[in-house]
Amino acid sequence: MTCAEFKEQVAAWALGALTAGESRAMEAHLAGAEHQGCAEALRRARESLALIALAETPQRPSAAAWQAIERRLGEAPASSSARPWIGWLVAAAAVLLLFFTLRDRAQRLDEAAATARHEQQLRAACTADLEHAQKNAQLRAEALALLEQAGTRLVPLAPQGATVASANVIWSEHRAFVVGHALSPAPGKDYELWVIRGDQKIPAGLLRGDSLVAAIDPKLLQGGRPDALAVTLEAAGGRPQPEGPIVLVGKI
Amino acid sequence: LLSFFFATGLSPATAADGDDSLLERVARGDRRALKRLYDRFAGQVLAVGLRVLGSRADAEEVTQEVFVEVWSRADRFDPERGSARAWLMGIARNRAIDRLRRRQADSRMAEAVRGEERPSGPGPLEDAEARELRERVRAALMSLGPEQRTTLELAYYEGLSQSEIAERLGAPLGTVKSRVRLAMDRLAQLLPPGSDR
Repeated sequence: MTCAEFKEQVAAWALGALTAGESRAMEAHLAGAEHQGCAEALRRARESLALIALAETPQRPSAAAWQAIERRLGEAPASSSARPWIGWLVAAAAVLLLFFTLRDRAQRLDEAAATARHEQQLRAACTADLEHAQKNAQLRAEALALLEQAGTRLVPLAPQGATVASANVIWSEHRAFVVGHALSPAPGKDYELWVIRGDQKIPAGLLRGDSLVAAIDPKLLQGGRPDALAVTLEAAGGRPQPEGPIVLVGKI
Repeated sequence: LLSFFFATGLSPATAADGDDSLLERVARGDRRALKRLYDRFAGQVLAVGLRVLGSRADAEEVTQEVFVEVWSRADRFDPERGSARAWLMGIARNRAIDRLRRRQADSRMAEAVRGEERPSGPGPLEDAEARELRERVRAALMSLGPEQRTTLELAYYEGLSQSEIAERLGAPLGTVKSRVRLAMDRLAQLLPPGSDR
């Protein structure tokens, strides 16, 4: 680091606004022998900062404040007889300082651990999102490929009631995809897909997302062409049999 | 005469005492000198604590911590590196920011700041000279562009790093760095050393 670079950053350093690495670089530079006004620049920056504090209107501390400080220092009268006690006072202040330092350090360690945990959770959530996006992209490609195949049918699911949700089913003999929009249920609810054959209503998974592609389990297609597909609004996690209102339905 | 006072621990604390010499006496264990510094700076330390923390109780606690620290660390004060006031107010601001960060970590800051009124204690404490200086400092701060002033306040009163400020303001890091530098240069221009005397 050159002296010019040091002076460029000195205000931010005095403010404590540099990263730990940048601060170390500043300290290392200042510890060097040759300088072009670096210490003076730091001094000026500190003086300017001290003036910022003066912009605040001073407040009168409570009457008990000084007494509380004296208690912290260790009580000793301000007289000549106090002199032998000064060492003890300093020791007491040092013990207090040590106590606060250790307490601060413990709190900082706790904060660092909490930050690490939070970061780990964010990382896990981010990984899940990316994996979901990757899976979704793959499903979209497969659905698009199926749509372009000869003999594939496109079945619209008709909205029921006032729903804004919509979906189409890309259907072939062995594979099927639901392509849906606005399938974002209220908290505590889920949209559930059903394959309907005669009186049988077979759960085929939950549908979530503003713009989603979901594959229908091929095993559900093995019994031949179903009569219809339907989407109902169920309690979160879905139900083994439909209980909620029908939102979308389409005959195959 | 002075040596007599020092020998007996009854050092005189007059208005003529400089802050630096008071700190030197604190370093030698002179509690009256600490009291003198307290009388001079406690109001300002408390005000900074209030501005940073928004809570009078926390600001009072910080004020106590600051003067206990001054008592313990006065021997580390180096007049070559800055004035006693800059050193002491630096401690005040750092302790307030430390407490703010602990509170933020506990996710209690917002409630604490909103829940308490700032000037809830005894009234302002200042003389005409201090008031005149405060007005000049405020005028200097107000003469900064709003973006420079906001950047400086986020760093000074919230203890944010330049990267955090850039994120908070949605501004490029380079822009924030340049605002900090320009704002401090401008303050140094408007309030040159000794302008408070």
